[in-house]
Amino acid sequence: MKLDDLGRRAAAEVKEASSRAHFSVRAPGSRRPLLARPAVALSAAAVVLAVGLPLLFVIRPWGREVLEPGTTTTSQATTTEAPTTTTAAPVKAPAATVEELVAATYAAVNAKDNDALRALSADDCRHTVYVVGGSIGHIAADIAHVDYDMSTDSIQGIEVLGEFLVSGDVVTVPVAYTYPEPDGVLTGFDVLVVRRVEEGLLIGGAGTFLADDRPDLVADPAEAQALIEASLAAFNADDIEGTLATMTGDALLWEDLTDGDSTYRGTAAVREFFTDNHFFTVEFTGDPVFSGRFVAVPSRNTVEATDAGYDGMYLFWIRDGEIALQAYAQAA
Amino acid sequence: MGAVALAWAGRAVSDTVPVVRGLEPFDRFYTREFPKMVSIAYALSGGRMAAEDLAQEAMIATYRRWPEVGLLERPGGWARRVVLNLAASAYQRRKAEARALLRLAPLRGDPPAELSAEAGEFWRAVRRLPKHQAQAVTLHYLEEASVAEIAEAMGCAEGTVKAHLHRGRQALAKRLHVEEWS
Repeated sequence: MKLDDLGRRAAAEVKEASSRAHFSVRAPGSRRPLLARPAVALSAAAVVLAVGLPLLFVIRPWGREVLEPGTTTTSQATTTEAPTTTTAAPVKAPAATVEELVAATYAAVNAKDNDALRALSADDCRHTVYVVGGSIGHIAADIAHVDYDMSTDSIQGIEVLGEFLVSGDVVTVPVAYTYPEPDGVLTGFDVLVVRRVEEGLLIGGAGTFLADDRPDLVADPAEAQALIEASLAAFNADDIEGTLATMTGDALLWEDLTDGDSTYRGTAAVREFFTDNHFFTVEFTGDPVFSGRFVAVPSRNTVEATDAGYDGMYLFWIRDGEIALQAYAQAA
Repeated sequence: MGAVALAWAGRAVSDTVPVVRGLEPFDRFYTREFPKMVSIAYALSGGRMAAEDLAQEAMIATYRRWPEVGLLERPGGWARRVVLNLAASAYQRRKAEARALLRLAPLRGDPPAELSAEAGEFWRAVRRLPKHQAQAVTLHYLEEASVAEIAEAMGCAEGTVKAHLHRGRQALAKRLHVEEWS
C-alpha cells in the first residue's frame, strides 16, 4: 500500500465527516443556535455543570477516576541481555495497577526489552528527554516507544530512588540514570502519563528529566518551594509580569512534556503563551518532591469558565533562584 | 496598499502581498471555508465536536479582523494559521472539548465513530508526529495544498515545510508499514 493512497482516502473520510458538522453554517454575527454562541455556552457552563457534573465523568474519558497514590517501588536489576527488535505489531500487556505498570516499565527498560516496553505503551506514546548539563538544559530526545530500539541507547541502567508521586493519571518517579563515562549518573524524574484501556493501564506518554548532580547547583528546597509558590500566586492573580519575574529570561515553558514541540522559550514567548491561555487557575495539591535539580509538584488546573478540574504534574528546574524550566503533564 | 500586519493571539501575522480588491462578504467566506477548517481541526485534534469549536473560534477571530483579513490575497491562509495553532495547543483542545461537552450534554452519549479503522489509524499516526510535521502533513493531504500554501498557513519558509513534510511522511510510512512514495 502507498502512503499517498492511504492519505487521500483518510482525508476524504475526514472531509465527509466534517461536512456533517453539528454547528450550522452561519457566520458570526448572524443568528446561531443558543449554545453555539461561545459567550452563551460559557455562561451556561455553571448551570449545566451544577446539574450535570456527574455526566462529565460518564461520557468523557478524561473524567475517569483518579489513580490511588503508590507507596514504594524498588529498582530493578540491570542486565546486559541482547536487545530484541521487531517490526511486528506488538501485543499489548496492560498492567492492572500503577505499581505494576511502573515495575514492569523499569524491568523492560533495564533489560532493554523492546517488545516488553511496546507492550506496555500505547501506540501513540511519545517520550521526551530533557537534560541539564551545568547551567544549560535542552530537549535531548523525542521518541515514539513503538519505534524505539533500546539497543541504540547507551544507558546502562535506571535506579528508582524513592516513592513515586501520583496526580490524576500522571505518575512521577525519582530516578537515577547511569550512562557510560563521562556522563556517569544523571538524576531527576521520569514522568509516565497513564492511559486507561479496557484491559488495564498503558503508558500514554512519558518524559524524562535528568541533570548532572552538582551539589552547588541544586536549589535549596525551602527557597525553591517559596519561588514556585510565588510564581503560582502571581499566575492565579492574573499577574503575568509577576509570574515572568520568577523565571529566567531564557526560561522554557513546556506545555505538554510528552510533546517535544509544545515549548515556549524566553520571556516574550512565555508571556505570549500565558496571555493566550490564561483561562485557568492552578492549585498545588501536594508537597513538592525533589530529585537532583528538579522539583515535581502535583497540581489541579481548573478552567475558570466551567470549573472543570484536571489533575496533573508540574516539573520545575530552578537555576540561580529563578525558574529555568516549567513543564506540565496531564492525562490526555 | 502597503503590507498589512495583523496580530492574532499576540502573534504577529504578516502578509506582504495583499491585493486591492473588494471585501468579500464574510458570510460567503464562512460558508466556503468553515467545513475545511473543521476538517483540519478534526484531523489534528481527533475529536469532531472539539474540532467544530476550534474552527468556530478561528472563524470568530477572523471575523473580528475581517476588514483587514478580508483584503488579503488569501484570507483562508490566515484563518488556517489560527486553526492550526488552536488545534495544536493541548490547552485549547481541552477548552474546546469542555465547551463541546456542554453543548452535547443533553444528548447523553458520545457521537459514534465516523472514520474507518484505516482512516482512524492514519490520523492517529499523524497526531503522533511532532506538531509542525503533523500540521504540514495534514494540509498536504486534506487540502492538497502546495508547499507555498502550507508555508503561508504555517508562517514559515518553504524549505522548512519541505523538511517537515519529508520527515513526517517518512515517519508515517514507517509507522503505518506502507511505502512512502507512489
